[in-house]
Amino acid sequence: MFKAFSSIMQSLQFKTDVPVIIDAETVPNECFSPIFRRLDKKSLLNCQLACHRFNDLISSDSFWIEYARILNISNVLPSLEWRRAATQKKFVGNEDNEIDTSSFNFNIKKIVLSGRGYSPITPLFISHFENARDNTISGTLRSDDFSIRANGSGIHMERDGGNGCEPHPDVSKCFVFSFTESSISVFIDLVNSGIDPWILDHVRPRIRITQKVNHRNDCAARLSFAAQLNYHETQWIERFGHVQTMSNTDHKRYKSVNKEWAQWTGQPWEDWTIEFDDYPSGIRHLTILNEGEDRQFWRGFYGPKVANIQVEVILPDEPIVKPLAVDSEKCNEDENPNAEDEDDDDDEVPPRVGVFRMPLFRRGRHMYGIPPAVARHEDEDEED
Amino acid sequence: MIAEAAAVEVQANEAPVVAPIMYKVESNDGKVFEISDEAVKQSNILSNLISTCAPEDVASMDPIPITNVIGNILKMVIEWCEKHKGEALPVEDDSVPKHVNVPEWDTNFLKIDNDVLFDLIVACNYLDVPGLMNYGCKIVAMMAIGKSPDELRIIFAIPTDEEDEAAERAAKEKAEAEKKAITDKDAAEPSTSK
Repeated sequence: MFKAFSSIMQSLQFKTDVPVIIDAETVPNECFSPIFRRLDKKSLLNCQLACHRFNDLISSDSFWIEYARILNISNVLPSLEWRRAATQKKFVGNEDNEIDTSSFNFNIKKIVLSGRGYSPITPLFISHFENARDNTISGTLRSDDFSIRANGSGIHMERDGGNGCEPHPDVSKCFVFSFTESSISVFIDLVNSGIDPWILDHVRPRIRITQKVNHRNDCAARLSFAAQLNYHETQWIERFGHVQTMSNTDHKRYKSVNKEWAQWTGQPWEDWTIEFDDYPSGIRHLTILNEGEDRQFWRGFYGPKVANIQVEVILPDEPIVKPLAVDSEKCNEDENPNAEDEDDDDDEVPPRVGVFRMPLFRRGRHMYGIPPAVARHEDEDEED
Repeated sequence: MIAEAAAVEVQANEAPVVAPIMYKVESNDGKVFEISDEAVKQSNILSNLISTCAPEDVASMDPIPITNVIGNILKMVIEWCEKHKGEALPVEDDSVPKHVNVPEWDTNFLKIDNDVLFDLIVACNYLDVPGLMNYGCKIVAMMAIGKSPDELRIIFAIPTDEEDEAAERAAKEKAEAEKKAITDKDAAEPSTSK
């Protein structure tokens, strides 16, 4: 009886409803490539695991370049000149081979799978506003990619260029602050976005952050737009941040634009840009902060409006490499992201009440929402 | 007015109906098929081959040998080309989305055994028929989408590492046995050299 049962179980174990198509060994590689190019990313990765031959086919740069073309995302790839330079190891500025370029290769597969690379990177928080009740987020919402701290009436997503200001053809959705200081932070892991570490260390391409900004004609408003280049993930360095959100700064690793609008000063949408082009080696992360409020303390959404936040990593036209650059602005928080900065000078401007403070969030943590009272920093409680 | 219309009708009737030029192609198993000059344009290889031929020489021409394709597959390729004659070839352009939708006729046409479908894809690759290649690859891709690596190994008849090793071992043993048989045979035969 047991023998019969075990034989039945064995026969069932190897049964499958998957039809055998053909012996793959009889089919040339050039026939498999166009089949693979029509698969989704998950199925492609499964094909890579099926056998060594498929793995070799799918791992090749030429496959991923063609795959990007089929997906219409060729703009995520570095230019042909850069790809050729990386293959031949011939870069401008390294004629005497002072810099070891043997490991300077583009990870084309990673760039294409990220879908970001060298194309404009758009933050991922928009869908959360679309799914939120009344397109409004209140309290605190955090993930590996962004942190929203929405006090007062919250932060609201308006459509068609927003209320109380001139519409703009390029602005379909904008994010409006309310009567208490609130913030939207965006964390971009540059390496996970497909930018190779050797590019960040030896090329240090221009990093440009752009957005459109406006406010309601009938209400005074204030907005701080700040960006930091960091070594650690999802980090906001307070030492820089204190200065950034109080005045316009233009340092190698941190820059900001601050503006206040008086009531009845309606104007068209403005383009705000922050560019980094002389930063040190070792940078891996970018943090962008928009912190704003209305100045009339009105209930509802009368604060500044932000739209079309975009990040671009722009490689130079010619393939050029530079020696490693040391960071002259490195501080204690770079080494210990959650520690207070010990060497703060006494004469430094004290932080403004309610200033945004961002601890390091560990990767892999699930997104969660907590009420504003719990989210507030201990220091703020003491100041209150 | 009626006379003018009649004259136009006569002129239209007088225009000779040009018979399509038919080219002969021969499969590797000796079967000969005919394909029209319009249908030939669907295959980049065939259209390049016939571009040097003058239309008046076509009748006396030997069939074009297609050495890598068997008769029943070549017949299918020609049937597809005839159906799609006059259609533009797929554009290789980054501005055009690459998501292929297989039309109903082509879906029914490609409802064939899987080994025949693969032979058809190989033939399209050899003859460079981008339209049919697109549809064939799309259909095979749809079979593979959402499958686990183990299921893909079954679909494409890929041996596992253990099976590979066993096959290699068997081949090695067979080769050694043959070698041994030859040496034994040589030892058994008396030497004829002086």
